[in-house]
Amino acid sequence: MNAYAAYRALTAEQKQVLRTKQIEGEHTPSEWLALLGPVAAYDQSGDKLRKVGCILLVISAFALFASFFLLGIIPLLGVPLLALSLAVLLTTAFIYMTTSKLDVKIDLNKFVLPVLAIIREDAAPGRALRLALDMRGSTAPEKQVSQSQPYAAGAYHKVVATFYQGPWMSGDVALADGSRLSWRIVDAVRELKKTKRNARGKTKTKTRHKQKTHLYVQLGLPGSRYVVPPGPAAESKDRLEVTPGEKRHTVKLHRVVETRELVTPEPQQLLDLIAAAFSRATPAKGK
Amino acid sequence: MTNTCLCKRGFFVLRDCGQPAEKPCERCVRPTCREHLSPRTDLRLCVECAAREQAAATDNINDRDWPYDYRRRYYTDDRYTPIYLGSDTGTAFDDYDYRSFDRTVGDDQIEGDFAGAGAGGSFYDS
Repeated sequence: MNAYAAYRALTAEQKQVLRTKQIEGEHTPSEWLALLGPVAAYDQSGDKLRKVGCILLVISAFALFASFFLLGIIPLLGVPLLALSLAVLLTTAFIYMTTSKLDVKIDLNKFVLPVLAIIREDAAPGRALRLALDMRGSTAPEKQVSQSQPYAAGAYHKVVATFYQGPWMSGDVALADGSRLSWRIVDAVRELKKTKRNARGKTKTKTRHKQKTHLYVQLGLPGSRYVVPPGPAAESKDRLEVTPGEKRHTVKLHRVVETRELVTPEPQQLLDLIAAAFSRATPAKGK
Repeated sequence: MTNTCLCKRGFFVLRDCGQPAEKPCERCVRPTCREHLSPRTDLRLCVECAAREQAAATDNINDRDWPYDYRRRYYTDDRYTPIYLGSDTGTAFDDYDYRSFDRTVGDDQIEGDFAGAGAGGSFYDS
């Protein structure tokens, strides 16, 4: 029951984050890590608990089914088995439902915490990081932007395409070298629900996703420290925009990561983009 | 000899830590503060030497060593050549390159010069 111990250890603010799955505010990167670390730990143990819960649900459902047969043959075994399987089934279902409500749909441990731990290294000491996180998942009903009329395609007599779009992470922070870093991550998802009738007359529905994760990075570099030559992007699919200025040079980058499933991107995708922005800059000699 | 920590902070732009040193690293002999002494080497080595020594990096991001392990992996995979703002060019060598400033003017402004850093402006319009 690690998940319950982890949940009890959370502060009121952290429990609120789990309930609303959204947070926006200004804290230092260390404070963000201290706030979100336990939330991620709870989420991880909640995921594990639900996996065990799934197995228990299946086993207890089988046991319940078996107990009905046993009741007629050996009632002495059937009655306790019925009671036990029913108790396990109901308890597991309750645990599954309550932990599902608090499930965070983005992988904090895989993406958010590593990114924050890296940003902390470069952030200006004592300066706040403005962060907005939406952990409701890229196919949350609130993010639906449109839905097609049902149409037929091949063997499928009914196909419905639903489109979702929404940002789930944005940040803005002053860095120790005087630069200013902002980033924003937006998921655009197409969900296809395809329904067909097989040869035996059974109706089957498949759900398929296509996700495009848009990563936007803007880096403002102090003109007193860096030279940013204008010019075309190196061989890369990323969209680059460089605006040299006297006080501040601005480098903007946009990357799209496409996947066939709903996944949180690797932190490297964002770090590579920030690194690409810094790679455009040359330290200003003798300025 | 300096008594401030010479470990490098930062990921994209490196700078000297500058915190009061607690003891020298047993490998690179650089003065190192408590924060930059690697817990997994019982505070014998600095986090940079610990990352250099470690064949497999830690995956626990709560580990103090994690950003340094990750940073080292990131640089040695040729993903990025960091910029170095510090002054320690002689006491430790890394097997990756730096892009350095010509530190002649305004070095004291590093970490303090945020003039105009708060200027907003949306980049989400693209």
